[in-house]
Amino acid sequence: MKKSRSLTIVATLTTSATLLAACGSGSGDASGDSTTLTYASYGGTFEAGQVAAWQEPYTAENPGIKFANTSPSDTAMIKAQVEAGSVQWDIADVNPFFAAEYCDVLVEKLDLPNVDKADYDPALVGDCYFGTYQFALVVSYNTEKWPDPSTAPKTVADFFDTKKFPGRRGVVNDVTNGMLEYGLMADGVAPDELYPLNVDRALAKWDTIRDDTTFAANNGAMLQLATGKQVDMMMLVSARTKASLDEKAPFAPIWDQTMVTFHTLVVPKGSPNKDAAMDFIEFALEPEQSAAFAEAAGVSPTNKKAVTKLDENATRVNAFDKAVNTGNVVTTDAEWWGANVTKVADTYNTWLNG
Amino acid sequence: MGVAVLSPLAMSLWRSLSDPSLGLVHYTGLFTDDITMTIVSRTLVTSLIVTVGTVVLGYPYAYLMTRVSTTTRILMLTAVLVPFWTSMTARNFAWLILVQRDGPIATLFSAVGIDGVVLHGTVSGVAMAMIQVMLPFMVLPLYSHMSGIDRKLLLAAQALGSTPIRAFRKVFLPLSVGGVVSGSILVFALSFGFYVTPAILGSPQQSLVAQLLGQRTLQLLDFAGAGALGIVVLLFTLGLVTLANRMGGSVSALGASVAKGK
Repeated sequence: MKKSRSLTIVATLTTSATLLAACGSGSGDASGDSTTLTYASYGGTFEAGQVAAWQEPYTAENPGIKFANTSPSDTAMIKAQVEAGSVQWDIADVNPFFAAEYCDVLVEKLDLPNVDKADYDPALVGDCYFGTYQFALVVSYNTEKWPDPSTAPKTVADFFDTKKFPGRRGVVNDVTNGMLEYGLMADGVAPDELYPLNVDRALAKWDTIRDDTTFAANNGAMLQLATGKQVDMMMLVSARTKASLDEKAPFAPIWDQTMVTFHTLVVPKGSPNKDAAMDFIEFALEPEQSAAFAEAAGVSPTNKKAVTKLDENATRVNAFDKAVNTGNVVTTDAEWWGANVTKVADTYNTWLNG
Repeated sequence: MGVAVLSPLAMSLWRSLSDPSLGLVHYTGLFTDDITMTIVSRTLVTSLIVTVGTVVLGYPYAYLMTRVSTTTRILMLTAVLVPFWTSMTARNFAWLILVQRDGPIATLFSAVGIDGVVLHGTVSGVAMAMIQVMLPFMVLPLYSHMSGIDRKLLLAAQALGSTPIRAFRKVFLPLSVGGVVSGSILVFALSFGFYVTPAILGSPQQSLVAQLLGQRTLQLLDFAGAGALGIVVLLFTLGLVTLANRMGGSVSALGASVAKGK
């Protein structure tokens, strides 16, 4: 009986220990005599690319500035920090919709006097955002399913046409990434008349292929679906589409209208190192740094003077290369999304779960 | 400890009632927004399936654990604990490979003539994986409870003329109900707020409460609305626990059976 008692205790303890272990915790950082900028991005090789392309050269030029990196740069964290009056992040890599929606509320207005705006597409620049890198939501099809290019899908409308091109569709469950815009263009809306978005019309278009579509939880899950050949046509950001090609997934981009979104570095409102953070953002926007990160991460530089050297697969999905992309690019309207993102996300989630 | 748990909870509650202005707007919103109640009932059904599934699999297993030699018992316990200690994410990705299109499960079904069984992205797939993930939470309290049942009672029943099966049904089963109830509360409560499995194996179209909470917090930055939903989920779980306590089980049965020296 004694043996079995101790076994019982082990069983009990293990259960409670695991329940307790379910809560994790983050950690802060301490700074010495030099300034440490806390930098939030998306982790993994992506954030490593920003460290190598932006932070290390910056510290080389400004030995007093060091970086502490953290991830993921959840905007909820910025909101929580700002509202608690305890801002720990100095720089965060976020989408511009958040920056536009909470401009001067949760993020500081950008003050970048040394940046020449003429070098950037005006759509990438706002009071609180300044496109640091951009990327396309590439529409591609499975070349094993449609081996003959002459009869393969060629337009965004083909993505939504399951009669002509039967098969599974895949898209990442992120309403802001351009999926609504694609729905509208497939439905006949001209690219320059997209905004303000007619959300109901876009969702009605998606309704027609909803049962044929897998909504992947995130880009990683969509990449998994691509390499596992679980879909026949997909919408996936360029860097991950390239990654799927690197894994020998049989996909070819459709160059018709291509949606482009971008990300921005922001300074959370009330950061104690605001000035140093702004200076760093200016540095990251320079052509050389812009190109270095784009090459490392499979995104595209926003600075028109930046020149990138891309490998074969990165070139195949490069929407900004006129020799590759025979169609047009359409850049997201960050201001419209900033003003409407919460409402649209609500409508979309209700539609998706309805 | 109490402060660490209760003060954020109190802040969350206060915020859900006061942001942007004092009132129940976030609570009424939950019942009128078309989506929350659909997701809550979907989560309830899933959690129920998972609870029943773990009882069906866990009960005989835990019973067997009380009937075998110490060595075998330790082996059986290890078999339960090894997946328990394996990374949750790794286990869920293993399930993903099993249930995806053209995966082993789909292949197995098409071999017997049933095509197109893709459990990935369905509630059934999520429930199946969750049963495996939750099984230790059922087996451990069940075993803990069953090992405290005095087997002399069964011998006594048999001495008084019961068949072994009847003795089990009339004596052992009623005595083990407490273990079933505490295991069920644990599994049900954990399933109700479970995030990883539905996030990896489910689909955003079939999201469960935890995903909805994640979405409200991380995507919509609607802390007040998420707080309201969290409070409702908490109250609901507490209600269930109270109900289960009245039915004879106990959430603390896990520790209590040891403390009482059963």
